[in-house]
Amino acid sequence: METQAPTIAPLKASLQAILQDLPLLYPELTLGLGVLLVLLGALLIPRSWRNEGLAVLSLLVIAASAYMLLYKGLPAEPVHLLARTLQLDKMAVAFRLLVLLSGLLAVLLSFREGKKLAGEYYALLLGLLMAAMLMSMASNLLLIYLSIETASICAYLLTAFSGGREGAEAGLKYLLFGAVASAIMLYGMSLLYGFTGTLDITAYGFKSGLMSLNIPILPVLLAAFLVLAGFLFKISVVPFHLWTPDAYQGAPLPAAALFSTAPKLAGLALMMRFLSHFLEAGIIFAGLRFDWQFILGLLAIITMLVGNLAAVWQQDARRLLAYSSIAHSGLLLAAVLVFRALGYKALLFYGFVYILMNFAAFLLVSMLKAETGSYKIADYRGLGSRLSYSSVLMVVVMIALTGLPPTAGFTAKLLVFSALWEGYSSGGSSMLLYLLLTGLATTVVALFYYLKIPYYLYLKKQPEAVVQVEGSTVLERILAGALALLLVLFFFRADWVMNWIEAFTISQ
Amino acid sequence: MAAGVLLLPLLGALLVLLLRGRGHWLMIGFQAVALLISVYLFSRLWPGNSDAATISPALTHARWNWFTPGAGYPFTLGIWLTIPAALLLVVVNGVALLVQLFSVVYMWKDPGFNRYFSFLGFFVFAMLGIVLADNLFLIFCFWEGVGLASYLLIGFWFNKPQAAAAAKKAFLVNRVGDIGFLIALLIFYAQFRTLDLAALFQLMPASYIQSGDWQAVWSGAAGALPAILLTVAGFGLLMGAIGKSAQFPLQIWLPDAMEGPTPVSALLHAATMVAAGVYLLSRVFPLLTPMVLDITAFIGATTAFMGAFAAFAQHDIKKVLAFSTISQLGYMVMGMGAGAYDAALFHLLTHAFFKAGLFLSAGAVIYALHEAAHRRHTHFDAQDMRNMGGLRRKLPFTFVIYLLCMLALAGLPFLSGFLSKDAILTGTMGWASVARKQWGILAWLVPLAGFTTALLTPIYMGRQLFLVFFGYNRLSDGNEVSYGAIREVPMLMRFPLLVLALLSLGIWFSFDAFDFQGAWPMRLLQLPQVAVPGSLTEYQAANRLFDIREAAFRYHTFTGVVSAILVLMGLLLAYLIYHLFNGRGSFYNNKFVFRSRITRLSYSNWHLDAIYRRTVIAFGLGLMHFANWLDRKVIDRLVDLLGMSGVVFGHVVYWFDRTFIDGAVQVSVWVAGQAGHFSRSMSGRVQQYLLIMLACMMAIILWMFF
Repeated sequence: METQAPTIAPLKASLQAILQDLPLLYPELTLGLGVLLVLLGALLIPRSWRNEGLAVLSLLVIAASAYMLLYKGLPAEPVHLLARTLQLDKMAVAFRLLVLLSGLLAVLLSFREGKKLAGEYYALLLGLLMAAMLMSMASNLLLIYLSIETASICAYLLTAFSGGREGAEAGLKYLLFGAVASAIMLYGMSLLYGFTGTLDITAYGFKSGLMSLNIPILPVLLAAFLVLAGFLFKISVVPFHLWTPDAYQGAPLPAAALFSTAPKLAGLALMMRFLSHFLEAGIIFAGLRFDWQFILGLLAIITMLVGNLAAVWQQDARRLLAYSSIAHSGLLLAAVLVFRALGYKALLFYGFVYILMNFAAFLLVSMLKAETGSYKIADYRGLGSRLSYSSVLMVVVMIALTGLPPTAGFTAKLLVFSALWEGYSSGGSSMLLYLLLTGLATTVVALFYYLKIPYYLYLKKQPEAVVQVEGSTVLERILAGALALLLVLFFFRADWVMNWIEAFTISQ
Repeated sequence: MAAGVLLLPLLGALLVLLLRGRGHWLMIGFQAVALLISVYLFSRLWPGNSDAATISPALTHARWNWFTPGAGYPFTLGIWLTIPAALLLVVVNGVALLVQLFSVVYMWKDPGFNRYFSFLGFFVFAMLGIVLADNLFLIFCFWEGVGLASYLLIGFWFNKPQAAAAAKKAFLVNRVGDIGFLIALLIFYAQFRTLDLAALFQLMPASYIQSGDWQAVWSGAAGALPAILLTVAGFGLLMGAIGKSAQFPLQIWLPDAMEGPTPVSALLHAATMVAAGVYLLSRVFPLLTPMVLDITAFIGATTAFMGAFAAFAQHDIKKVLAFSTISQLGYMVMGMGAGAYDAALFHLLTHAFFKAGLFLSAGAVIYALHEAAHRRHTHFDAQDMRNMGGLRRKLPFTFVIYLLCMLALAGLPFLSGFLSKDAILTGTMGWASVARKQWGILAWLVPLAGFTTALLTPIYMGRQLFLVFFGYNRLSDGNEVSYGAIREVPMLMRFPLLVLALLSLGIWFSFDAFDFQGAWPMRLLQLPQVAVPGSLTEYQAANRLFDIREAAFRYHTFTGVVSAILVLMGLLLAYLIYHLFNGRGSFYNNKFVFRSRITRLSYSNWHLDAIYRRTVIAFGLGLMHFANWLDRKVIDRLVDLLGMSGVVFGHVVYWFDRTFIDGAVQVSVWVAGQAGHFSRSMSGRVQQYLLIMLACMMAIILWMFF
């Protein structure tokens, strides 16, 4: 009896604290509720308009979530939520908004693809979004693991969701690969817990545990690297990228577009959060600070090289986009490694523009698939004269992905490069310079494979009269046009995006 | 709200392009809404409906700041809804709507159906821009937009070489006029540092002419230009109008423009676009000096006569109408120049309806013949009047419509054309009686040309009427079978025809069929206050205009009677020459060609094309040949020399490049290629994937430890 009394009182207090925190988590709760609603809707809505109904429902849920986030979920200053498992600051808000934006675009893309799929597809999309949003806030090893795992499981299911041999194979590969990656991460986490006795990476105990002289430095580094491996898997950085092309090829197109944005950006957020706490601890390590910038920079360089060089040989538009997304991961990782406000701003800008151009590219590939019935780039021969609208937009988007003016893709790359230069010239590691040089060199390589598509569209002759399978819809044309227009607009008015980013810059 | 009217057609045009199915309903829907809004706006401006105090300035004149140049006023963009603008708004939107309805059937089988509607929408947008813009620069922009729309629509069937050539010709000839417009813009901007019309109307009277200089007062500073530039600017604006409204000497593009689809001819090249020149003159009327106005009157009179004469000997049903359009535009320009501002705009209004009606009837005839040829698998030129005749029995509805519109054009009393033409003629009489102080006997040439044209108009229109609808059918050479297959056009085509024919009746405009003074457009349109400064010795422009209008009153009855007689005489002559003494049309068969000198002069439009070919174009080509010679023999030689030395140097560089630099590039390409091959070579086996990943991780960890 006596032993119970002290434990009940803190439990009650912490339960109350959790309840008080809930309003700040309404965006995630809305998405969770949305998952249930969509599942219910999949049962109730008649088959004839199920896909449209569920898509509209998902859009409403995402809009509601964004509303909650913007009007209810902004704390005045960084707070810890749910018994210190989440850390809600401006960075988390920015990344959650990006996640919601990519979710919105993914649902808009699903109007065509969703027809072939069961209604649970939308539930999984929303689940993935919710997990990605939690990832960008998680500050507790347990919750980090849980949110990554939730996102991964949703992604495995989505990959295999289109059914058929291709999807099932890709899903299984993704699952096996992901399982190994999360086992590795879990092992690293358990080591960290063993060293520190706490799961909360923001806690003082975490730092002091790592600083303790009883523990040799190398196991700590090993554990940290194992945890980072889990994150790198989500961001698809070499050598954890191998699942990417198969998954993108097998998954429904909107889901593939979503994989390359939402979980990736959330993974980057998680990585920034983890590294910032870990480095803080590392600094106090009696001069034994390990150069994370160097090892991660090396991985980023290899990622850029592998992604771009492998993309040159791709014949399938989806695989090409998969390797392109790997290449972009390298550059995004480079922006993280600047470790400064400038790099953080460049990352947000790049992330925002990357969402726009990536979804535009996937959308256009989907539209051309609807027109030609093929994902093969060789089958785009001579379409420029027949499908002038989609072809012109494709050229704009490809130029944006390459990073050339006059598109926002150029501005984004420029910001990352100038952040790298700024970091290097103000006394940073020379790794930043290597990153900058690799980025420039691979941009030239990127020109080859991105412009291969316009090359086929315009400079190759169409072999014979191609039978039109099904046309693209007005919604798709308007959406593609709007995305391409935004890509050009944000080149000329980059300040509009920058103003928005300024509002989400970490002040400390 | 007016901005809404402006943007609706553009929005429609853009959406139609995106649409996969047929988009006419979308465009027509937008157009109908635009028409409703315009009618509402017009009713708001109608005097008596709401007194001036309740019409908010926001409704009539809205401005947005664009940018502020270093010196002068901020550059604004705006919409200025005056009464003529509101009237034109209704006319443009109304005719556009009817033409679009007509086009649904006419263009149904065309593969470029959506493109066609999109172009029409874009045209309406640009045209409304001219009507509404409050700023000369903005007007110029829309002016060019209209030119582009015209180019696109004339060349709509760009696979036909004649259509492509006609589009190019129209575009180039219009540019000549636009140069004048641009010069006027530059002069006004240099003088007043603004192109805003309302501001110009304020600044212009404040400027004055002193000892040969034109002094302007703006923003406290004073600018001065030579006085002649005031007149030059007016001429520039006039040149713009001459180009767009196909006036002498630039009228050569309009007949060729008939290569476009017939509904396009009805909308652009009869009712609205070509009237833009006349509208421009009305918009800038206060800025024109008496000298410019007088020249305008002479040019208009010349064009009216030349157009009417050229309309005589044409085979193509549309060409007759094209020349008649030139002639009628000449009337409007003549009226504008003679100070009959309201009469010219009135004629623009009535002409828009009956000429659109005529073109659409011609379109209906062409459509019916085309369909008939299609049904009987024959082939003949469905626009050549030599293949027509006797169509009254096959196309009774079209015939009635055509008859009404044609009589309105001829200027028969009780129809709209009589009223407006009468008003212009009266105006020119008044002008001549005042202008004879400067021009002497020459001044009377203007009303003389007007009256001659009034006689010629019923003759050539009567010719067309008798040759197309009366007498025997002249299809031959195995095409006769098609005559039996001619059917009246579908209902959707008939509706616009009917509306336009009804609008050609005089009763809508004035209860008293002989009194144009009482017609509502004449009462509605107020003569604007003339703003140009006059030197002290010269007679003030405003007073002169006042005298002209007073003098015109005296000729009211005279012109009414004379023109009515001329019309009846003309119709009678047409009946005698082209029907009764022409074997009821049977002599005009497909072997018929114009032989006599005078008919050839008419057929070839006064040999204008040939004259231009021998003078302007020959000169241009000569200059080009000379430049070509200079380029080849002189400049190229130099370049060759330079090039030779370059080649020698190049060989050296080439050798260096091949040996050293290419080697490096090839090595790096080979390395990149191999790397790419390696990184994509692992495909398929998940065990292999995991192995690679773990091996890499181990390598990194080992590296971390040591």
